[in-house]
Amino acid sequence: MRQLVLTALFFIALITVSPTHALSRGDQLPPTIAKQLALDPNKITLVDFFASWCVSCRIELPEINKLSKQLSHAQLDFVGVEVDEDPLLAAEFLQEMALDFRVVGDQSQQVIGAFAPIGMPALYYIKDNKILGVRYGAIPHIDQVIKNDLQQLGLIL
Amino acid sequence: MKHLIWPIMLITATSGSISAQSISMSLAPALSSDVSSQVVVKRFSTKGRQITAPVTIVASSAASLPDLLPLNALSTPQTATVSPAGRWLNHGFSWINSGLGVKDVKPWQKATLAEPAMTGGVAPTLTKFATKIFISKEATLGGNGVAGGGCGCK
Repeated sequence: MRQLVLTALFFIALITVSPTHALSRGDQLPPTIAKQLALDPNKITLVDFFASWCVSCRIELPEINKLSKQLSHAQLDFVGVEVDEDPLLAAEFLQEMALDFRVVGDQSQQVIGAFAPIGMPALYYIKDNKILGVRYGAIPHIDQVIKNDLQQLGLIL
Repeated sequence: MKHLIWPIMLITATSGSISAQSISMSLAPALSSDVSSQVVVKRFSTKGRQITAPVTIVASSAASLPDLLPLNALSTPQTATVSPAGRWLNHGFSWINSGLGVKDVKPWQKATLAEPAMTGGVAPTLTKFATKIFISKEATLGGNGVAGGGCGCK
């Protein structure tokens, strides 16, 4: 009897444990995360997650920054999310990069924890708090890739 | 011994210049249709040997890039490398990790792992010097570091 109970408990534990859910294309942002990012629901927002230790982020960020200045579209917005745990490192990195778009500090890593990307840097296209597309990892010519993606999403540049 | 080494070096240098020329020639027809691509001709020499033949370096432009994967294709779930039963067991047994306090390092939590001192080995500091030699000898950089720290892999 005892063995039966233990076996049942074992299988219950197996069934009830669920994997962590990462936000992907088509998902709606949780209200708390949407509030933290303060996104404009009427615009397509490029949310870029980056950190100072991420080499690809260092390469891509100047290109994205340049693009954010080039594409001054009424229906487009750029938001960066700095995910360094150390606030001093984050501040130094932001000073070094001198980004022109809005950057949200996520030193507690709550926001990126909710998105749970599989790699860094992570770029999300969001409109009306809904994820329209995702790009992970180092991508050469990211500016051209973003332009193509935006056109694919129906934004006439 | 010296008189044996010089011809070998000469052959090496010559073969290098020939291969460089053949590369530039093979690229030329493909690039001729692409108006926006740029071709930079650069002469270079290395210590101990002179390569006089011009080497064509193709400056990659947006127009010369192959068609990018559409956004939808990238967002679709990747093909599973583990069977459904394996995944179920993997997630099912994760309570052992949580019970022991073992946690996965997420891709955004790799700041410490990305530090040069974390490369391991007998003397991690020496890696810096080894990398310097590797860069100067191979004229290339990268391919090492933390997975998920920019490469996009898991």
